[in-house]
Amino acid sequence: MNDVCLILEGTYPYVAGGVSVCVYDLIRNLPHLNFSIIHLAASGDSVKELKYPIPNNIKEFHEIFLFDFNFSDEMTSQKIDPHLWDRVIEFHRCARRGDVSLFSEMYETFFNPRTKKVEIGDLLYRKEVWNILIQLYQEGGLKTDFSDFFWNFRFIYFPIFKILSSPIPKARLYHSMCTGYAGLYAVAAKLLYQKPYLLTEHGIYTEERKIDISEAQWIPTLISESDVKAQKNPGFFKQWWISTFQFLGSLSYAHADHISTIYDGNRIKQIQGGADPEKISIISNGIEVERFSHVTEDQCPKKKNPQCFRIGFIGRVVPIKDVKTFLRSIKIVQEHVSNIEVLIMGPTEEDEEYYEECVLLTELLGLDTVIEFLGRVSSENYYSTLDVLVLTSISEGQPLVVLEAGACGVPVVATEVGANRELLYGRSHEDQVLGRSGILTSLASPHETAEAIIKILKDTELKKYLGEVAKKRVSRFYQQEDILDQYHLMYRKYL
Amino acid sequence: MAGIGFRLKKALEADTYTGVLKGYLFGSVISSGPWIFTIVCLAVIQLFASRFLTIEEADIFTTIITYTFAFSLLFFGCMDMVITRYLADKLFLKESRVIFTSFLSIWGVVLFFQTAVGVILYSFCDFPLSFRFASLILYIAMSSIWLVMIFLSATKNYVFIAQAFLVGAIISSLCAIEFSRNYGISGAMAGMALGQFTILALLIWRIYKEFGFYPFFSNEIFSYYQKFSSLMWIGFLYNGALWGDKILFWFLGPSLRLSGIFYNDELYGAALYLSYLTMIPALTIFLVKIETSFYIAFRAYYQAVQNKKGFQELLAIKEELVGSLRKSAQPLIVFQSGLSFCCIVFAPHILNFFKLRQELLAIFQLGILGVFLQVMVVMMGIIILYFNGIKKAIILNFVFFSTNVVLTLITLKLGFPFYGYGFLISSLISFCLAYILLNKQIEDFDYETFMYQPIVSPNIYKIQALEPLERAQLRENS
Repeated sequence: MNDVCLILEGTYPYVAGGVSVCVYDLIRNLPHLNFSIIHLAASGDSVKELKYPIPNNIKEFHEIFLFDFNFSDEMTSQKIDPHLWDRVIEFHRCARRGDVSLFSEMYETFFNPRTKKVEIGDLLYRKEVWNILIQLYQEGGLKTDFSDFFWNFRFIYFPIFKILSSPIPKARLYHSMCTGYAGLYAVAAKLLYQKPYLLTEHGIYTEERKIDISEAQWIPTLISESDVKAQKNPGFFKQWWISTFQFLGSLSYAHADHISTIYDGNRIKQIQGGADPEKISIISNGIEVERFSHVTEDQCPKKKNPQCFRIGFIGRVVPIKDVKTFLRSIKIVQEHVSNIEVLIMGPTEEDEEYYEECVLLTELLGLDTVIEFLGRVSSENYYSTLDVLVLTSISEGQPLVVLEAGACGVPVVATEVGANRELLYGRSHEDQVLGRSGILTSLASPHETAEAIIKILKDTELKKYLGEVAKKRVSRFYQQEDILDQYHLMYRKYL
Repeated sequence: MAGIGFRLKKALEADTYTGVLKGYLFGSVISSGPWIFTIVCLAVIQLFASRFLTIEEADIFTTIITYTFAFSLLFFGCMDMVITRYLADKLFLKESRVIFTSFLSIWGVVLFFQTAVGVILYSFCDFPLSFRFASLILYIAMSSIWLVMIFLSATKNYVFIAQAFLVGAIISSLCAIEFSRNYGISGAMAGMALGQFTILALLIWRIYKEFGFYPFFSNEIFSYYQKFSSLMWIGFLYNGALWGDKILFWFLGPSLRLSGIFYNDELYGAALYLSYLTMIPALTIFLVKIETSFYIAFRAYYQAVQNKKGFQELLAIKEELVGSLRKSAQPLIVFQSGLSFCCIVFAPHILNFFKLRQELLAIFQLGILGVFLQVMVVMMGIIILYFNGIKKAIILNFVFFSTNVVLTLITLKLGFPFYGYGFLISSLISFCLAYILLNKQIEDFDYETFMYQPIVSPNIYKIQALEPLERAQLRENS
């Protein structure tokens, strides 16, 4: 039996990103614990190459492909109590009200290998299931689109069946990094083996899915385009998907023994999603501060003109980062501070169209001599050369770049989203008395952003002060070892 | 967080329903056409050739033709629906280029296999060699005709098929009569075979005209035997049920052994073949009806599914479908029962007209009643298949087949007064079962249409729907 079974959805070891780094560091730094990993992906062909090494203390690695429906056709030969199917209807009615309490009963009846009354084939083909489907259709108040309803039914419930019918390795502790399917698996594990379940969420899974689904083209909306654009009504099918993920969220929150997230804003969202505030703690992202103090002079790319100010923007060139607002603010900055140089660091290929638009806007604003799109670079070499780092994102979790800039003593101008307020102004009282390490601005406001940049560039004293506070704050509260210790403590408590 | 970026693009757009809608127009209906021509042709030959043939020779002649029918149809039953399914898929995917080549490859198999069967069949008798040879040719020709008919029924070119058979029947009759003048029974058989070969040649020419010849080898058609073995069983059991009692009567009944394994059943067989002629009007009406009102209503259902109609609307269309079925079935049943009734009443005169002995009367009358029920079984069976009830069709045909065999064996034991009851009771049981199964099938139709959709992943789903099309496009381009 392994110590910890980590359930991951679309992250480590295949996808690069904040969560993956966190998982990798966690496993690497706890060599005395044995891990088994359950990796969930949409389908077999979406998994490609390893982006991270696999440490030796990962003893088991299983993959589940949610949308590869390789179910067995096996059906039970025993007579099924018709009452069971009534309970399914009851379960759906409760689920619609956000009540997850009947889930354990469903799991015992239909999936738990020790107690189940049916086989998976029964759930796929039985007439009773069809009758339930019809009843749900009628209760949904739909008048049209039966075939869409049918396919959505399959694509919503089959991945769930897949998760619940997959074998679960024994472990002393189950840990998922998000709610959703991974959370569902962990809940099943907890119900099956009565072992503790820890949920450490970075971003709020349900929220992220909600955004994905609202934008998804493949789910029919049934309502007029204008309504969809105005986000008034996502339409029956999108609402169905969203509430399914909301249900999975509540389910994880209800069964988790301990919940954590990276900053206070997310904690509030978890509580809104049904989490018990008593169970939640905050474990931030952490960084290796030393790594940034080791960067030597000659590794740093030189400024064109040593006298000029260098403004940095680090992040993917995608709409959510609102690069256009940043470009517009630079136009204003340029009118007040003549000697500037702007570097945009981050992959541009994710949304080519948006990138083209940004390049075009740069030219239109006459900034092409000032602004440079560097694409993907190892940004740690650049921090120490920056005079200010700017973030104009519409949405953020706890951006690592702010921590990294802080470690290098670079002041930050950032929109007030996600954890940015905590990161720049401090979270706890102890943290707040350190002072401010940057300036917060409103969303999509080139003027405010520009004003803040100008303020920092023109006031050398302020710039120095902000940088020093940032350094202090990061080394006090966001040291990676400290953060890992918190995970370790949490594990120790439940192992 | 990256999360899990699943995309179900196209999943809800792809078209799998029409794939289900295969034109289930089975040989059981189609083959009744040639069957009629051949029987008429046989009657004509018997009537005129009797001038040149002895009574024994005429008996041998009809017996051989009967055997040819029975054995070729039994094997045809194994191919009928599987190939129909294959053709429906190919036509649906607009891959008609492979059809002629597929025909040639499966024809090769049929020729090889049926020649072997024919050689074995005719090596166990001491008829003249020339006669046996002509009979073998006829057997091969007729087996091939059934095969060709499956391919041609897909084109729905019934007028041409009818013309070809008419021409063939005329040639068969004329040549058989003419050749029997100088060459006796061998000449009659050679004439008959010549006519059938004419039909075969005409039909093959038609397939070629219809689909064209593109020289590439495809053995895909054989893979359908693995995928749709259930269809093979349905066809085999159906033809087995149709012939089971007759074959038992050859070997175990009071039949006259002509030579080898050839028996002339002048009693039971003769009465029943005659009663089968009453099937013709019902099958013809059914064929016409199915091609019009029912088929259109049936297609409307799938169109409604694809046009994203609501469930209530689907139910309404299903009701309409059942209604149209009832509406077209009612006059058919009334007409057919009236016809059967008249035939039973006038049975003595009919026997007289066909120069058959009056002691066949009871069997003939039971036969007419049984055939009436059997027509209904056949039609309900086809409708069950339309509704995709393959399992139910297997059950039905299995019961049809086994009751016929078992009850016939019992009546053979019981003796002459009971002859024909086995067939009738088996038909009655099958009729009741068919009615129950059909009702159940209609009730479960929505459920099965949806819940039996293949369970595929969204991305694989898309590939499955497109791959054959893309292959076809590649072929078009190359």
